[in-house]
Amino acid sequence: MRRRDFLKVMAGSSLLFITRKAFPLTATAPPVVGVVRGADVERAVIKAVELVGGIGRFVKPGAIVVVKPNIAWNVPPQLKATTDPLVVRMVVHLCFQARAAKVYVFDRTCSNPRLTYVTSGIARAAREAGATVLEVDEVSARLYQPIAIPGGVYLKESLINKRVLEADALINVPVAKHHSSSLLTLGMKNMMGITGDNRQKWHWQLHEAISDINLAVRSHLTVIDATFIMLRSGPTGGSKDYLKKTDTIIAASNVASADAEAARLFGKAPESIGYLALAGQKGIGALSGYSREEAAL
Amino acid sequence: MSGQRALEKLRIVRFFSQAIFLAAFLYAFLRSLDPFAALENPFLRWDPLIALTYRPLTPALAAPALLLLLLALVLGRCFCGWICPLGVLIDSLDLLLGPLRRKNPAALARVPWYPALVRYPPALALLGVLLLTLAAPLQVLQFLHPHIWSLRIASLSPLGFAFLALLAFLALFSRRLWCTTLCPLGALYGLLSRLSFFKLRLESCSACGLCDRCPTGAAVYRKKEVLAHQCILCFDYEHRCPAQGFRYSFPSGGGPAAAESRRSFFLHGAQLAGGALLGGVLGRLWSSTGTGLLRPPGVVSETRFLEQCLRCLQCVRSCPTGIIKATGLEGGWSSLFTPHLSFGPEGCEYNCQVCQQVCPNHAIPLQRLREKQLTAIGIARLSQEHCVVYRDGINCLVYEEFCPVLDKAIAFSPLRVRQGGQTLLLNQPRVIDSRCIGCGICEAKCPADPVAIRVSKTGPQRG
Repeated sequence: MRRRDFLKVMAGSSLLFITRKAFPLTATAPPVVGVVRGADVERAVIKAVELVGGIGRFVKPGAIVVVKPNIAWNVPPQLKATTDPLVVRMVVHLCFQARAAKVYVFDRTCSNPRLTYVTSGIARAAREAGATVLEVDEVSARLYQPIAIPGGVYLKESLINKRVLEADALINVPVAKHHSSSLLTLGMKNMMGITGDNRQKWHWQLHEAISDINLAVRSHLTVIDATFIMLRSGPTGGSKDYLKKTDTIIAASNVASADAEAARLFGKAPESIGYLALAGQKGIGALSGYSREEAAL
Repeated sequence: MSGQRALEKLRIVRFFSQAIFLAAFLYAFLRSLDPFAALENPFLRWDPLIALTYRPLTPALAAPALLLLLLALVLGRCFCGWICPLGVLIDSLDLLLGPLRRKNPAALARVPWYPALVRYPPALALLGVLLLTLAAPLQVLQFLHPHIWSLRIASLSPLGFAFLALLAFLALFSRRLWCTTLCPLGALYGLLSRLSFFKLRLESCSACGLCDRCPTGAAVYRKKEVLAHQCILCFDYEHRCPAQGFRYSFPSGGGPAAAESRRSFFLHGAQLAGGALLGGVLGRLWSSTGTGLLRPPGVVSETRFLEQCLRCLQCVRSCPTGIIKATGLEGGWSSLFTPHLSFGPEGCEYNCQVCQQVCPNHAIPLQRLREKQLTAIGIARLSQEHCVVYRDGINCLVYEEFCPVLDKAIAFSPLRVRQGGQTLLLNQPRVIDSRCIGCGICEAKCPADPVAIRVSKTGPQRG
């Protein structure tokens, strides 16, 4: 290489470097929703989180993170009544890659918590990735704190898990499935696991209650496991015949938009799900017209 | 195997054997408290008397029990002195209470009728009663079986403590009074050890009286005889015999006491038969009444369950949801200490069969999971009077959400009602009888007060 050429290259690259610094390529905001299709669950999770801006956008170094999967039912993972343990593990792993100080994983289960944590495979998967798995069944002042919900219609106040209130980031990791009383259980419904209230009574005004709790506590990142979606007999399910292989992971910075995206996988209009319609009204998130990006593995 | 030194060595080996088996028993007990261990307690699983309660008794199930019987046929009644956890406990109690007993003027070794009691122990009759009531709703086994008592003591139940107090009281009179006179399992091993290949024998005697210390009263030095059906092979005193008269070996010929032996054999048979007769009568008198109690999942026939259930309450201790409870006298004597279900705050988990896995004799049948999920415990009944949907016109839907059955055993009929000027779609629930398995989760989770849906044991059992 001659000297002149060398100088040309140097000058060119420095110019490029300076322009990049002044006008970064990521100037456009990442989309609200990222959808990834592909059979490799773990890679799909990585890709989906990347689409919505990468884990660093949600988890800052030294952050305390709550990862809230759906561990509601004592049903083996292959029946998809609970979040795929691999999804949970990968999300926890990503948090630690973003140098999170601590990651908590828990759910207030519907079935017996001892059995459910083991049967779902989630407790073990989360521990493998380094998370702290908590049992939150005991409703006490040590674990729960009452908060007021301004704008709440059915819930004016609610007991919320202290770890959630104290966390720097809440990552909502639901599984997409049919639900007998709310039609679908997705990200917003999954937030029922952070409360210490009598959730049975919530069922009398279920849609209002679900939208109110999401008004009170925001999910910073929602990662929906829609690898297999349960079409019937939810939320407990019980048969592989009721599952549809959709191989999809949805990541979103807004929980309502994530749910709207997932509802369409079931062939349902988001507005037809009571709590989603209310979420639109209460300003939790947009059900349509949000920015989205799709990718395949 | 003979000679005083060898006998002393056996005593040390016995100490270690007892320690190991006690540790094993406690370990098995503690492990069995963890529902994920799904452990069948091997002490109950290997037990010959418990093996008789298996229906059907397959060779595979009977094999371990037969092995123990064979052990008694070869070596004698060593189970009691070397393995039995209750025996270890009794021996340990003796460390505390032995000195007191030696001062007790009423100690049995000084009582004239004690040798006769030892020679013809009531335990034989009790064994007879037990054998004939094994297939009756009255389970004499529950009150007499040593391992079940060991479990009750290990689980620190009030009943266990009461029994411990009884053992302590008995220890004031004789070291192994329970084993010599009451324990039917000991009596069974004792009967076999009369025929055992190896026997402890007293060949010469200086009438020093050391034999009065024999824990079971088996060494009758005045007749230079060791009662094989009582000797638990403890080897605690034999090495101290000044005449060095003890031999543990296989027999050579009939021995001097053959006539005596024939007589006692006949009397032992008579005791056993008498007990069996009594057991037969008791078994007839005792008819089980339908209690209406909900039994653990998989139990289809109440009668068969009452016949088989050992009342060990292992299911109560292992159930992860804590819904299996011990029955008191509310179900009558025949249901005493049997398990029943009481729902709330949880129901019977659909994907759980811990009680079936831990039941030592499959009184709660061990089914395949799919089979268990189809076997009805009872059936849910909805009270429209209490249900908030019917009573207050509120949509609830908890029942259906929690119902674990495929396609749900609770359906609802939508009904349009006018409420405060606007039309509301009210979902009125009803139970689909053909799908309901009576797991009680709806009962446990029902938010109404009083609970509007309850499981009861009505109608014929469905398979």
